[in-house]
Amino acid sequence: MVEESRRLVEYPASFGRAATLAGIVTLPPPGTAQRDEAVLLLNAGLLHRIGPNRVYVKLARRLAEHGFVVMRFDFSGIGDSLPRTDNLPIEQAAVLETREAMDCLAAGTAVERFVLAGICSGADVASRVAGADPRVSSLVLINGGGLDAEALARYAPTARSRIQRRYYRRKMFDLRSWKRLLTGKSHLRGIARSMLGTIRLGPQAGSPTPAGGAGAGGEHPVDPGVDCLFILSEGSIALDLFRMVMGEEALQSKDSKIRAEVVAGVDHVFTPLWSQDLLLDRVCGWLAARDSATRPGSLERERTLRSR
Amino acid sequence: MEIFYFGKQDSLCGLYHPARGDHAHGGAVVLCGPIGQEHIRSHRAVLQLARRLSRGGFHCLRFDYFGCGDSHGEFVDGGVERWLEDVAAAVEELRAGTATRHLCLIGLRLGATLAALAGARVGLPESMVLWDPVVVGDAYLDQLVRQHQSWLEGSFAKSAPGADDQVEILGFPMSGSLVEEIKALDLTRIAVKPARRILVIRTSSETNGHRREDPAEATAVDDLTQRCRGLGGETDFQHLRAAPAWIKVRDDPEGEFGSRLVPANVLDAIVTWLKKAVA
Repeated sequence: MVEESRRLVEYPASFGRAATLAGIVTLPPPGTAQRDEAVLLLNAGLLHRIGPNRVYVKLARRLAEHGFVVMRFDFSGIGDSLPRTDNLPIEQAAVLETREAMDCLAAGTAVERFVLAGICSGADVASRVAGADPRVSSLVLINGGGLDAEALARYAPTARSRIQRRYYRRKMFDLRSWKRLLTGKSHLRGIARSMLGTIRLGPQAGSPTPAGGAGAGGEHPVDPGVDCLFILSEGSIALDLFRMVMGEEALQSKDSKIRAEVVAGVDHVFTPLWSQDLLLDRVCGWLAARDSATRPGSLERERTLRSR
Repeated sequence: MEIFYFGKQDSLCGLYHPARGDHAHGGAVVLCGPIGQEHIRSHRAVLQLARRLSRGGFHCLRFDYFGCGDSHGEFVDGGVERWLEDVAAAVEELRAGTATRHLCLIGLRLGATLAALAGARVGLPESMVLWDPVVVGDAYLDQLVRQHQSWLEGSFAKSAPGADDQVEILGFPMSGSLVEEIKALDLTRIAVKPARRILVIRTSSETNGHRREDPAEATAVDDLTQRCRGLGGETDFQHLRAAPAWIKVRDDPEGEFGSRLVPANVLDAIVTWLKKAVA
């Protein structure tokens, strides 16, 4: 405990146009070689920068041990960051503020490339920023499909019914669920309804099933120039969205640039402690193992982004 | 607002809101929040309270206990005794940095319990607000365990046997020693008055005309109020209608990350009472 406190180097950061955004920077412990990439952890929904179950704090400190500079911060109006006063739509504000966070870290640590990581809506923002800023080298998308609001609205109803079916199928073979049902203690209907609220689904209006069904979405939610790790919980509707958009085969892909991992027995926010440890292992393992030589340089990506 | 680190080995994360209104009263407030999942869920309510107090002319310090929030350490290494030291360190930090003439501790849930226990250690604060305090530790643990089981039952999450000497509560590991420390808590047997003036707040909510509250918890809060009066603390009590800002709500219509509840009436009641207390 004392050892950890002695080695941990964290400091607060205020940044953004009026220095109204709040973040905490974690540096690699003294004696650890610093990597040339930093990691930004993006708010999961409305939860403040420590993340669901404080998992962003754990992740930041573990990544720092691997040599990464890490910043967790709050978007405007969330956590300790002040709301914006310019009426910029939140989707645009989140992209802008993530880029400001990159500017802040680049100025303070001389890091020029960034990994963006986020759970749920944090994953959505991460993938949008990757399409707009050549400094983004990699994405870690946790229970987020990287889809915009329009695509979410299109796919959500079908994804919703799929996770519902998965849930009931699972419970059918669960002895405890039957016991609860037979003793009148089950609230299956309420549970199913609320479970479907585990991810921000975006607009609900008029959302047909995508033509052709699974895998036929034909949309690539991630900028092809970046490495990407999807981590998908069995208990997240993000898994169903991924299957619909990317196709079932993408879950089995051995592609080193886009990798998807499904974690069974885990809810949307990694509540069980064992799953938090697993999440940390997967993220750190994947980031540490990438071969930097295979990643495209900033200039190459900048050319690609400008040509669009 | 300024974020900084303080305390033993600069291990505690503090968030200081300077007085913005008329500070003639010299009031300064240390806010003691809940722990674990309750800390995450109530973050917005506590932040909004700090902002209102700041506008009311109070210097205000929020902070994260060791092993919580942005402070150093793992949650499993936290404990009641360590967190009481943290409260004392926060008071010292606020006193050192401001011209405090009227010190107030405001605590929510276990933070209220810690504030009440820390009162004597920090030189008897002029005032204290105990917002839905955890009065009986044993009952609090039972409540957390029930919430944890209920959460898991309605999700895909599978629990797994953890370390022998810890229990898992809503995403946070509680060490055996922390469990024992919490079990031993009983504010109805507190030996010294926690502050000169005390406000005890109990909230309950109503759904479709049915009041949602734990009768045993309500009785315990009443007993605590009587105890504070018996110890000579000038004690006010308010029962307010408000949804619990600290509970991980499964049936939140906005989803799991949904509405971060800010019970405005409770915040108003606290600020109004405190302004009278410093007048």
